[in-house]
Amino acid sequence: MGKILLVEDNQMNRDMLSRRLRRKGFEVLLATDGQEGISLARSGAPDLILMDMSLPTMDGWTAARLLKSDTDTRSIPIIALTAHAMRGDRDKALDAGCDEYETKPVNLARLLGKIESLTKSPLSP
Amino acid sequence: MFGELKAWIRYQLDGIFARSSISQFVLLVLLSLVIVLLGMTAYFFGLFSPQNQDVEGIGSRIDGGLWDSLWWSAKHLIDPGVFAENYGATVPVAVISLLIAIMGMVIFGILIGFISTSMESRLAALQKGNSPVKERGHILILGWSNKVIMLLRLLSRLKNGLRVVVLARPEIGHMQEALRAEGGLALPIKLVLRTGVPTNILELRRVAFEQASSIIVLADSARESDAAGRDVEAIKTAMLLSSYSGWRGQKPVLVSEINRKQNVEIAKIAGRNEISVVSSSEVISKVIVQSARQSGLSFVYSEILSGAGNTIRVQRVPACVGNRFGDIQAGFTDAVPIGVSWQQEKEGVLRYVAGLNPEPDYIVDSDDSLVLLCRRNEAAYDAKLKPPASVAAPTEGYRKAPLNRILVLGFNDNVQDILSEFDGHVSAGSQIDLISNFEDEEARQRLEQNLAKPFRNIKVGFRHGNTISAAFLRSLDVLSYDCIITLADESNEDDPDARSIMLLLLLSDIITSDPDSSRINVVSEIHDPANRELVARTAAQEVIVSPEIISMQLSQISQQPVLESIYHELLSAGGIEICIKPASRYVELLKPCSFVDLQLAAQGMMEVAIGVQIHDPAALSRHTVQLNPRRETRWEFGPNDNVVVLAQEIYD
Repeated sequence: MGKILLVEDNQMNRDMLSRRLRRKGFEVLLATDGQEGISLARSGAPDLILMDMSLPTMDGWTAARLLKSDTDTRSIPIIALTAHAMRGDRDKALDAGCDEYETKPVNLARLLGKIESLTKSPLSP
Repeated sequence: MFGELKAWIRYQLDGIFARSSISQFVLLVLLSLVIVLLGMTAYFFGLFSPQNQDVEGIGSRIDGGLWDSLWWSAKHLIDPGVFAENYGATVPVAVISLLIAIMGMVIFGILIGFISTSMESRLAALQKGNSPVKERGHILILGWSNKVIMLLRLLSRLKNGLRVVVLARPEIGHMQEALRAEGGLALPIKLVLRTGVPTNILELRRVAFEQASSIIVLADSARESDAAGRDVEAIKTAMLLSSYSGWRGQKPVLVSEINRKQNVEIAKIAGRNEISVVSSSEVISKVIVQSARQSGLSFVYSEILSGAGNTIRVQRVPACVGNRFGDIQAGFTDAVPIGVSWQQEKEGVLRYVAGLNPEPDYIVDSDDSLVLLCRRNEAAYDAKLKPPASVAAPTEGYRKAPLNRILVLGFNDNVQDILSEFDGHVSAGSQIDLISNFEDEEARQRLEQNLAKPFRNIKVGFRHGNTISAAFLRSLDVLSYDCIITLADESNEDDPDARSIMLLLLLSDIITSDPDSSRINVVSEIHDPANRELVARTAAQEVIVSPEIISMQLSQISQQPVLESIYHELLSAGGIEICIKPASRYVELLKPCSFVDLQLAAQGMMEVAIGVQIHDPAALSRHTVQLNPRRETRWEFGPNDNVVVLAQEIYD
């Protein structure tokens, strides 16, 4: 484990979270919308995907559904990232095929715990 | 043959005279020498003959030969009056002396005219601003608009003794007059004006652009009536600057204003991502929409952007390295840390990026600078000051009241961007009614022209009418709206705010008749900062002086480029924003509390407290805002008091 695909349209969130993940030793791939996320998930073979749900062009829910319906990418765990903190949002993300859910701003310690449990491997690559 | 020679000589002489002042001067000297030499021929006509020995004007003390002839000839050329001293000389000598004296008068006449013309053309050149600028480390403003005076005012606040050079198309006299009328010539800066075309590299060299510390490119408001057309020159200039490779020393900070949001991408391509681009329509639309959503935000933005009170600065504080972001807040008593900034390579360019509102557990790294909201140029950090034990804060849920019905009065170039911005902020089905001087179909066409993508959440209604007619305004049922926005009328160049002020007066009369009028947030866009106080006395709760907001951003980004991404984030929907939330969310009401208590409570909700908004019925806006308040201040908050925070906003 060591490669994470971060799909996030907000530049500042993308810069901040990718920096913090790289500091923890992860290799981070970056995509800015759902379509680019799917493409990078297929070509980059990440170990886990962090997917913002409110994305331009193709939203995170659609992208998650497509990734989970593709035999090449369905095994990649997806953690949904969203500013929405409502129970309905969590259910909506899980219904779309996401394996976990994390609200923004991201609590890194909690996120790392979820990454670890989904990949079932030590944190450091 | 002779005619041809004459024409050739005339042609050559014309060429010499047309060339430069120096060639004219050299020709005059040569002509004088020829005349003196011709005058010396008097020697062969008996200048020193015995008949002329007693003549007063003919001396022979040197050699009584050619040298004395030279002296005699030169004397007549320089001082024609000495001709009289030749009284009694032989006829040929007298004739020659007369001819030299006449030629002397002609040459000195030409010389005086030449000096006079040179001085006049020099003065004219100075007035036109043709002379090259010899500055280093100056701020260069390229282009001319009503933002120049505001830019100069703001820059003078940011740093003492700044040297600013303006290169623009208008004549210097026009620029000086405009600046004089607004007090721009009395600012504590060294200001140099030059008339010229900013897209010409030779003109740029004339204003020492290679030695500038920062270059601000303005969208030219004077040349094109169409907002998109006004961006052409700014884009061409951005292209020229970004492709230039002969910078002397450190490359200056480059920032460019672009009128239309749709041209930003072109400008960024032209600027090869090396130029910070500020889209005036985008920034104004974001500030208007943010202020519409939260009453009081226009004041917060004005203070942060103006540099007059608290402003955002990036500062390296080595003593903070290794500490939690949440803990270092207590160590700053005159500043509020709101984020971190670091250098990162992006698209091949090493630049500063920033992250706002990091979680309290974020550990400040050695390459991190802090993003601070502070009153002074440099904030002091006291590592000995530790945060108090956290207190259990009431975790009251909070959601802003939705904006379901919005009334927009007026139509200008920013309408499309304002409505697009609203579309990203409001719930599906929200109604925006657009009232303008255009017939419904024309208004619809103007709005939908070049619209990047159809509106997703808002429904737009159109109505044609005169917004400064009391009867028409009453027919609009303005009290049924959650928010009313009045737009500056750009069609009246002399006084774009005149219509807005009349409209607001009529609106005030209608709104104040409703006892619950405070629920309607009235946002007014104006152009002239001198009208701010006047407008604030009407129904307008939020007053946005659009050229001032743009000037503020341009001036700040020219000094700290990382602020471009910070302001973009603060003003955009769906990221970290400045929010005004009820104090009851953070502390118990009617119990004494300090700003540190608010900071701790906000941290618990992954927010950063940056100030307070106190209900004040006596104030024109019905509240007062204190950003980065003194730490010794204590409040007992009531139900109408609020806390200003940085938070991840939630949109449905």
